[in-house]
Amino acid sequence: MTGKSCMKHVLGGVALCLGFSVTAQTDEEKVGRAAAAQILGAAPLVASDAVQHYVNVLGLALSAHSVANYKWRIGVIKSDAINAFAMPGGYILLSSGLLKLLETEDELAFVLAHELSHVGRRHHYQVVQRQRLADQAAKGLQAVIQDSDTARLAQASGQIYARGLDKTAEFESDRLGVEIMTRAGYDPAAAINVLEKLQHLQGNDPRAELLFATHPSPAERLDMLLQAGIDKLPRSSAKPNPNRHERFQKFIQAI
Amino acid sequence: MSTEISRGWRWLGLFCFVCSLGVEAQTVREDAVLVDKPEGKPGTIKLPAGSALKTLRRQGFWVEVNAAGTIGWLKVSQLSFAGATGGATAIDTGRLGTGNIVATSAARGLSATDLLSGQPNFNEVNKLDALTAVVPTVQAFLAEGSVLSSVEKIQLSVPRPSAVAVPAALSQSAGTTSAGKKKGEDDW
Repeated sequence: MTGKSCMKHVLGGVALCLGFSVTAQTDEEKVGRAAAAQILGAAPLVASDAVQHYVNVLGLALSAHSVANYKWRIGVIKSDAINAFAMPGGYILLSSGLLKLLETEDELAFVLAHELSHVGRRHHYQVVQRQRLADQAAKGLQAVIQDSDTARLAQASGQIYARGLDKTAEFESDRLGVEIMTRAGYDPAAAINVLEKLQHLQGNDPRAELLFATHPSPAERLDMLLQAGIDKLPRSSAKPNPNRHERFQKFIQAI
Repeated sequence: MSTEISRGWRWLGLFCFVCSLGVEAQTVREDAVLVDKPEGKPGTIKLPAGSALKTLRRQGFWVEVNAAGTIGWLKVSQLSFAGATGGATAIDTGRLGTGNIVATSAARGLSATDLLSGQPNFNEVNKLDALTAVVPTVQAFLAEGSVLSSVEKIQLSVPRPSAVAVPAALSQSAGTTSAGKKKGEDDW
């Protein structure tokens, strides 16, 4: 084999690998896009460029401290439900009801970092992949993908968000989320604030019904973070920044 | 008549008192010593693991507590939240287990039913696709808010579910402990 021929094989192999990689990424995005469409069919985006810009900038800032490499698309949806959704391929949706529960940018940073972690760890995508394997015989996701019927894929994806993930995936996203927000420069104690706020909602609060049905209890999540050593993480000694506070207040008022 | 009303108010007061205890009640995870203030020095009041107390307020990673009438501070990790048997720390989440779709009447537009039966909206996804931030904007955003990335290594440990604290009384009465979980049930 000549050097030139050898190089051709190597390049061919690299191209093949890249091809697989691109295919996997494209499929992940396709699944995420369909899932986002399903959720947006239930609750549309808040019609405010400033609101959407704010969460996307904060999300990109946080993503720099995670290993996940996606083109992030983050949206605030109009719903008084208290919930957030992470979809394969870099899509994240936050309900206005959840955001109105928050008091600081640091708390929002935890919520976003938690969702970034779901995407980065491919929690939902793995469920889709497992479901594809399980449903090959039936008219399930696999068939839907083959038919390129994105509308049906969207409806099939809705099941995943109605069921929720295994609770270990939620714990993992809490833990990774706290790491990301702390690396970025936000106060890890804000994660405790968020879980306390959820904890103080009534168990039968209809706004949080789906959230509580699909997540471990806030108390359990808090306990896991404490056992992971959240209170040993460094906290910024700087006084709260007035600009940060002011822009968050503007953001909340614009929702 | 007035005596009955007065008695009624007394019962109502007692009920509220009991409820307020329930809402804030926690337990101590491991043997602990109360300190006088956050980051303060340990005092003489020792609390054995499983002791019940009432949380008053939290300041960062510290919690002010009332332990049988004595006020002091503990690190938040010294308290157990998940094992509490009543009040806000034992929310009935309505979770029916992984894999079950929960029929729900949740808030407008985002119930399980809405997610299952709704029509996808790809026009809204097109709008979402256009919502991407760029790096220079992010840098200005961080500078404006004085968000300084940490120079320290930030890594939490991975807790084992078997380490979840359960108050002694609860584990004895229920006859179950977290260590009794099936292997692999909750593994990371």
